[in-house]
Amino acid sequence: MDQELLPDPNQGRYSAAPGTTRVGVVGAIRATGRFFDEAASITTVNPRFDDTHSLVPYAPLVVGRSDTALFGPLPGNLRLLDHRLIGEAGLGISYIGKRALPFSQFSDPTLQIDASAYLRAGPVRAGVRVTNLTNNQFPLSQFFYASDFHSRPFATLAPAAHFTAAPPRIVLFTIELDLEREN
Amino acid sequence: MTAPRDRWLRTMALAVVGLCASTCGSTGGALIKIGLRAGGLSRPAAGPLTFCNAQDAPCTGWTVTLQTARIVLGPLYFNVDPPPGESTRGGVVIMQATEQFVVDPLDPALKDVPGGADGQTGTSHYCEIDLLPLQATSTASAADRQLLGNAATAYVAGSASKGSTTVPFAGLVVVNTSVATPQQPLIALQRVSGALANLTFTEAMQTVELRVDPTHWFDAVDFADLLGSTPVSGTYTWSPDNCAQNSASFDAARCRFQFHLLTDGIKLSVGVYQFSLTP
Repeated sequence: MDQELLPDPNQGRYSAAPGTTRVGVVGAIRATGRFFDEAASITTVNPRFDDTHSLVPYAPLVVGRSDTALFGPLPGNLRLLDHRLIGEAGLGISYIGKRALPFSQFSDPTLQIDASAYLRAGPVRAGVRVTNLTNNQFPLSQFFYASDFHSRPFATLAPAAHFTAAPPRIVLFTIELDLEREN
Repeated sequence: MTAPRDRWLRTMALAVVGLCASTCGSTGGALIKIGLRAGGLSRPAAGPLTFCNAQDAPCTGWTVTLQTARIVLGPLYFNVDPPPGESTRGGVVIMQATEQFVVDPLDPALKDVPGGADGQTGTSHYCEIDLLPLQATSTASAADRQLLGNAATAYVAGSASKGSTTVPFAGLVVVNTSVATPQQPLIALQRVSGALANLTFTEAMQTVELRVDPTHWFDAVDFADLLGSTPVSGTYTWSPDNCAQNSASFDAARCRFQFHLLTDGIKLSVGVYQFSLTP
């Protein structure tokens, strides 16, 4: 990229950055079957500024993602309200490797697991979806800029680290009614 | 069909990319926290300091013997740019010391300032030094608090002589906040706006040192301005009321004395505040 906007800790906002070159590798696989679907990918990149050859901040150096889905009629021919029970289960695993941050800092790698499970009987579908299954606590975004939260007796004007916390474990229950006529 | 050697090279290149992505390099710069020490003019021992306020020899001005001096400094902001104007802050502050501290300019011993300084690596050129009254939260000895009270920025006491005239003096230096205007707000009145501080902060640096040279405080002062007043216990003094025209204490000469002591002395950006870095 010959032009880019990046967060500037000294300006406290996005500002024009010199050109960058990002050399990386992407690997992806997909496997499907009668009752499963698996998609996984991993990306690794080495992002550098063209002039200083230092790392480009905020670009994760390694990103991995796996989505696994299992679906199909439940074994044993289970039925509910005269409808055969169909199950769906999903598991999403996200890995974000360390990110280069301003001032030679690096973020810690994060691993987040999301999961879902649904049961369907005819027009009724019910289930649960959980994000951040392990309730992992980590900084979602990390920024560096000057701020003053009155944490000291006098104003703070030099850049410091700030972060937003990742959402905690969230459990969502869903019930759906499909009014569309089945063929 | 790719030759085995090409495949091997490609594999190795990808491995290097992958390895570098997790291990090589940085974004440059660093956040650092270093110590801050402050003291008076570097000389063999503490004690009264005699100097010529004209900074020449033989002295054509007043020969000043400073017996006691204190100044309240802080917070300090090290800036890469000069202040854009007196009434605003600007530039990029890369290092800060957000504590207030009292310096005895007559004591060359450097004392640690609680909290030190923190910020990022880089080169500063100027330091904004706030000159605020001593805050309740600041670390100061009981003696200093008694000396400075709750409104003063500095205290000076000593004597000045010129020819056959000797002027014993003692008094507080108070920033006259009543003269604040939109063009010259409090922020401008209560700070040294851009003391020279050519410092390169690196991760190897451990401490920034500040020495206060009080001899330049009196560069523009004419002690004859005090002679029109009545000495108290043999000592000439002054007060902020000397500058209030509707005050019974109004005294243009002593107001001028305070103006020169503060504006052309304590707030000087060159010579008074000397910074250095030590590994």
